[in-house]
Amino acid sequence: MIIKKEQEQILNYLEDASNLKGGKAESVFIPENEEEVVEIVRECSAKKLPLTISAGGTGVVGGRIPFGGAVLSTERLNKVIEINDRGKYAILQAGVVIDDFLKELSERCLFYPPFPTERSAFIGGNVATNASGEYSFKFGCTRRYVRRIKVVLSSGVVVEIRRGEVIARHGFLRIPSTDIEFKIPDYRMPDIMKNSAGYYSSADMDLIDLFIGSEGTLGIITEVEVNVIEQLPDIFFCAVFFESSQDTFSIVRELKAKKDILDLLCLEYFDSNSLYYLKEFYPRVPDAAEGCILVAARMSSDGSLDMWDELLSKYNPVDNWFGDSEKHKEELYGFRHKLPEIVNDIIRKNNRPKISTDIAVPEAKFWQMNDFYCERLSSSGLKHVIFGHIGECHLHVNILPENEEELERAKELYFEFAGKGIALGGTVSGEHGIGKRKHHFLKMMYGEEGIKEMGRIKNAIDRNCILGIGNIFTKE
Amino acid sequence: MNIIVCIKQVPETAEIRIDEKTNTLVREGVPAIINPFDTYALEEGIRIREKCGGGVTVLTMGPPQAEQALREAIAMGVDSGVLLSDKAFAGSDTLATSYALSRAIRQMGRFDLVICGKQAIDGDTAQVGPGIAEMLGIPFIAYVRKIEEIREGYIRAERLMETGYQIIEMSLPSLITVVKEINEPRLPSLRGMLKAKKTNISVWDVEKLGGDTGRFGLDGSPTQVIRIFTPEPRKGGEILQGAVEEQVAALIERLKETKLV
Ligand SMILES: Cc1cc2nc3c(=O)[nH]c(=O)nc-3n(C[C@H](O)[C@H](O)[C@H](O)COP(=O)(O)OP(=O)(O)OC[C@H]3O[C@@H](n4cnc5c(N)ncnc54)[C@H](O)[C@@H]3O)c2cc1C
Repeated sequence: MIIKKEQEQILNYLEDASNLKGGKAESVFIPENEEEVVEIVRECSAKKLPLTISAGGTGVVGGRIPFGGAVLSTERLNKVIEINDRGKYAILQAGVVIDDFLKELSERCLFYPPFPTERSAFIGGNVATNASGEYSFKFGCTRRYVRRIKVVLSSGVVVEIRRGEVIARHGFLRIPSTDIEFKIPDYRMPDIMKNSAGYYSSADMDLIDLFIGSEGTLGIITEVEVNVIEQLPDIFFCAVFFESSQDTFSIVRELKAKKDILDLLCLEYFDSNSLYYLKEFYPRVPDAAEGCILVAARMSSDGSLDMWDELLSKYNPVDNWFGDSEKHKEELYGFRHKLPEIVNDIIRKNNRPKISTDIAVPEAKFWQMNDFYCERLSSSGLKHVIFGHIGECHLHVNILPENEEELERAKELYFEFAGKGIALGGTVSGEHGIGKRKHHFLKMMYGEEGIKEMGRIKNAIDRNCILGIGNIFTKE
Repeated sequence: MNIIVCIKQVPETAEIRIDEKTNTLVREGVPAIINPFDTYALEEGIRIREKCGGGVTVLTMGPPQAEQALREAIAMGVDSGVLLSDKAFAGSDTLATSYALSRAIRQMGRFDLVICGKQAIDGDTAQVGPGIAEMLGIPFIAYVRKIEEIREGYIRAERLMETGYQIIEMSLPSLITVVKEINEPRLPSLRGMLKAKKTNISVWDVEKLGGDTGRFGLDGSPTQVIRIFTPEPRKGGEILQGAVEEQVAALIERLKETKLV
């Protein structure tokens, strides 16, 4: 085990991709095996020392940033324990980097469907935030692929939870080999494609689902077993640019309706502001473009490209970029990935926090939500971009305030958006989680009562209340 | 304007493995791509056509699977492709390659400009472009970083130098080789992709090229590769420590030891 106490060596662990300031910790523990994790947890529990779990640090809500206490970094729990070709599953330690995992799978012609856009994240971080990824339009989020986890509770007890083995009975869940039993929450989650807001809840819920997406507040995930699938052959990416947002939205409607025929894996959107920022790095973005979609799909038959061509030409695209070789796909993927990076750079320069929404709504209400964004944002005059997972009714609005006054207005707008999203039956977090930034939105979504129910579960499992302090809950 | 772009299919990797028996590259299991420098040549060709009209033909010599590189070029926007493929071409060095390509270009009839990438990343010789120009008896500019003007019978271009650049005027038909500063290669388009799938690629053999059969392939290749090997990675240097005077003294000592001074 490595223990870092020098502040210089710790600095790294005091930030993530959220730009949240003020993190502090007295030490960072870097265990190399499960026994050491248990040892650390016991020690912290005994001292009632807060313990924050750290993974790849790509989280955007400050989840891994400690505000006092110690940090447990999973970076050395980075072994791929088993990849089972026949059984189509993989067993990983929590600190395996997604990119490494994908590469190893690809050597065996296998694939992990919910991999997130940011591939330097760890599998443990993905499970803890229930991340979703580039292909979640087709495959859904991390939760669907997790079949077993090993968790170290704050008591030091190690539990293994396999999907399907511990199901809520009469409204109660019990953690095996412990005396921990609690009532499942009464609130119900919105009926949408993805949701990472607060603890999972459903009448016949599986214990494993409570831990998935619990953002480091219930236990330390040390091992994960996930389903993998055979590598998908013949995938192509295509970025298509349109002269009007209306054309862009119209084609999105048609693509969603034909999702299965077209074998669509991913349907992403960029508004005209996003294109404006991207153009600096990609001069080929056409001047006339007011909207863009990026699709990934399978070329299932010889005729499938003809079908695509016919479909696109109905909406007068100004240009399109096509890639089916690894090199070109990588380039198009880079195009998608560049935008959040550009936004983060601007934010850093402006030295104001990013106001970035993560609201997802039901399919039937999506266009209503979208109109609301456009209307409110254009009348606000604030610099912003709208982009993201339009296929899953999950657009990210990023507002880029340049001064305090703008920041205040941006925050107000966010509240309005969250309110609207909830009213339309959506979630305040589709994929990023609540972390230390979005408590008030979670409260708007589930009410005071909902938060109390989550708190009850937290206290039942993390009795000393030391894990992930500040995540999901403001104070315990 | 009739433009011909010469490209090469190369293995996509930085760690090239070499077959020690045959002194050739191991290509198995390594995906093949268009030589990256050639993608700038393709882009420039397409841009000139977009401005001046005419057509762009892409030309490569290689094994049958090099056809894939030609299709990729067509997907980017090139009009047609010609593949030189024949056992007789096997073992060509830069001289024989230049000869075969120049013969093919002659067969294509009237052309205004031939564009090549500055060099192929597998051989790094940068000889084929100029070689073709010599054999065709046309002028060339190597290392072009910008075409300032091009019209019927005339081109003015900036040639990248180690310390700055030269502006060179030249008559057409002629040849240029281009460096990566010249443009940003486009991705293929869906239409281009469809066209690429449907276009017939002409495959030419040694007979079609005519000329002197002794100048093709191994027979036409005076270069003898004695050995190719991956150099030992350089050992990390040594950093002298201490006060400046001490370091200077130590350095002089070391230079004397190695008989460099
Ligand atoms: C450019 C960019 C693009 C992104 N794209 C996406 C995307 O497409 N989809 C998406 O869902 N997210 C996306 N994100 C957000 C981020 O990548 C995900 O939230 C990711 O899952 C975080 O993983 P991490 O390993 O970096 O975790 P960290 O940031 O280190 O931690 C995240 C949270 O998980 C907890 N945690 C980590 N490991 C464990 C463990 N072993 N046990 C218990 N708790 C743990 C931490 O305490 C913390 O609360 C993006 C971020 C960036 C910067």
